[in-house]
Amino acid sequence: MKARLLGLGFIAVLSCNTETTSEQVVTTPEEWPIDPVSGLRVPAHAPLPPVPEWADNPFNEAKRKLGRALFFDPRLSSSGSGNCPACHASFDAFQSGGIVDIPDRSFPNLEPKLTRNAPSLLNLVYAPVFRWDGSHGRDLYEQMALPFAESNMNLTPGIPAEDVHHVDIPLAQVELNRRLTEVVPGYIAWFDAAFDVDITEESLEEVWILSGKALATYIRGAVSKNSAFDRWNAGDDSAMSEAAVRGLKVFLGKGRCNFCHAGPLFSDFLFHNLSLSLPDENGDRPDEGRYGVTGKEEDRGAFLTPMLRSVTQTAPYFHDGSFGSIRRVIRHIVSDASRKDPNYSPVLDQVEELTDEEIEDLVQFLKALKGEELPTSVTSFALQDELP
Amino acid sequence: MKKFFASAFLATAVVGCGGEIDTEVGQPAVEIETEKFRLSMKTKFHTEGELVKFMTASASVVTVESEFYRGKPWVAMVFEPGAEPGVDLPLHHEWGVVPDNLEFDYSPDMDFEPGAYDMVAMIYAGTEVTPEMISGSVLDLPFPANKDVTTFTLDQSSIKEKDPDFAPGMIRVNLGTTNTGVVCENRWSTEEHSEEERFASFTNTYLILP
Repeated sequence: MKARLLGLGFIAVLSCNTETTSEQVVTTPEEWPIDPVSGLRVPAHAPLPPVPEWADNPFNEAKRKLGRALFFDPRLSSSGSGNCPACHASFDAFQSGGIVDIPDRSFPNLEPKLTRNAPSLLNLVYAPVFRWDGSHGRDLYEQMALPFAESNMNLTPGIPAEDVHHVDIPLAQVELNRRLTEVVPGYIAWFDAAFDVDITEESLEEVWILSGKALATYIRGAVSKNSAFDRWNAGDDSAMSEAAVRGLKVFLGKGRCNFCHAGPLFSDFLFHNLSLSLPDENGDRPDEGRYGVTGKEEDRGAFLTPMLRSVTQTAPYFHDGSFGSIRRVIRHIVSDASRKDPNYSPVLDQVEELTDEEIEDLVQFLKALKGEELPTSVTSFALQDELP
Repeated sequence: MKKFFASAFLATAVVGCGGEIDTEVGQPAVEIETEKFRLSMKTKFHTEGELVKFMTASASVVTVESEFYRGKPWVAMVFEPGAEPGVDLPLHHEWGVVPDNLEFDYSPDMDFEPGAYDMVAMIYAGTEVTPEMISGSVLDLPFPANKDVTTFTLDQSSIKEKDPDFAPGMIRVNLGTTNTGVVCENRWSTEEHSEEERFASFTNTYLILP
C-alpha cells in the first residue's frame, strides 16, 4: 500500500494545478518551445510514468495470469454468465458501450439496471480515488474485489434483484472462497503459483484480498499511453494535426479544461458539479454523487473528474452515461447549462464559450489522447481454454 | 488519404520517368480512375411466433415482442475504418423504418473505392427519436438504450494487416473489386452451445441495450 501511494506521488505533484491561470500556460499557436528541463512542450501533461511497483504485491506472470482468469471467468458470477468484461470489455477500452449496464443480480432480465455508467478501467492503476463518487476507499485491491459483493457479479445468494445497491462483503467472501476452492478447484494451484499460498488454509478475508491483488495485477496492463499527443509533446511535430494543436490551445486556454483535467492523467481527481443531476423542487437530485460519501452539502451533485486519455473511445459520458457525443459534452460544459445547479462548481465560471470551430479543434485534440493498442484487448471466448 | 494514392502515384511516376512535360503547353497529368463499388448491409431478424430474441452484452438472451420493433426508426452509417462513434462523422448515413417482416436493407447510394469500411446500424425502438434528431447531425443522436438494438461483432478476423481496429458496434467490411455486403441477424446462444457456436452468435449480430 505504502509503495503504491509513493508511486502515485509523482502523479499528484504534476496534478496540482489549482493556482495556474490560462495566461501562464498558453503559448502562441505558432510556437510551442520544448522545455529544456523536461524535454516536453507541455510539462504539466507529461507522459505516464511506468506503472509503479507495489511492495505489497510484487508483479509476477502467474499473478497476472490469475488476475486475467478472475477477470474473465463467468463461473465466478451468480448466473454463470457474467464477468468483468460484461461492463469493462477489454476490447472496448475496458468500459461498457452502454449507458448503464445490467448487473448479474438481474440476470436473465434487463431490469433492474445499475444507475451509473461503468467507467473505463484504463489507467486505474494510477488513480488515487475510484468511482464516480470516490466511494469504497482508496485501496485498489479492495476496489477490484468489490464487484463480487455487489449486484455486478452477485456472489451474494438470496439478495433479491430489486435490491440492486445491496452490498454484502462477508457473504460474498464465503461464496467466492467456495467457488475458488470447490466449484473450480483448479484455482488452488493458480493461487499457489501466484502467491505461494494455499487458499484452502487462508482466511476468507485473505483470499478476498489476494483475489483483488491478482485482478489489480492484471489491469496493470490496462494503460492508455504513448498517444499522438505524447509524441507531439516530446517534439514530434508530425504526431498531431494542426487542428489538434489548435485544440490543445483551447484546452489550455479558453476552455480552461486543464483546470480540472490536469496532469499526466488529465484529471485532478476532485469532485465537481457540472449540473448533471439537477435538484427538483424539494432539492433532491436523482444522484447526489459525492455527497453520499461525505455528507457535505458542497458535494451534492458532484462527481469525480474522469481521466481523459482515450476519452474518445469511452462514450457515453458522465456519471449516468447521458451524453453520447463528446461534442455535446463540450457544449454542455462551456455553456450556461453547466451552471444551472445552485451547487455548481465555481471553476465553471472561468470557462469561456467556444465557437464551433474551437469545439471541433478541441475534439481533434481529445482524439490525439488515444493510447496505443493494448495487447490485453481480447474477448472472453478467446480465453476459455486458458481458465483453471 | 489512400483514396488518391493510385492517381498520385501515377502522376509522380510520369514525372519521374524522365519524360519532360511541356509546362507551357500545360499538358494535364494522367489520372487513373479507380473503379468503385457499392456497400450494403442487410438486417434480418428471426422470430419465434410474435417474439424476437436478442442477446445482451453479458450473453443473456432477452425475448421481446416483435411488434416493439415494427414501425420504429432505424439508422445505418458507413465510416472510414477505425472511426469512433459519437466522435467521427460518417461518410454516409440513412434513416428508415423497420417493416413488418423485420428485414431491411441499407444500400448507400454512392460508390466507394476498394478498402476497409466500418458500418453500423441501430434501431431506436425504446428511445424516442424526433424529426429534428433525424434531420440533424448524427453526432447528436441519443445513445441507444431501453431495448434499442445495435449491430455488434466480436469477430476481428476481418481486420486486415495495417488496417485500424474497428470500434465496438461497428462491422468491418472489406470492399474489394465487387459490390460487397454484410448480413446482420439477431443471433443467440446459451451455455448448451459449444464455444464456437457461442462465438458465432456474437458475429455480425444485433445486441439489445438496457
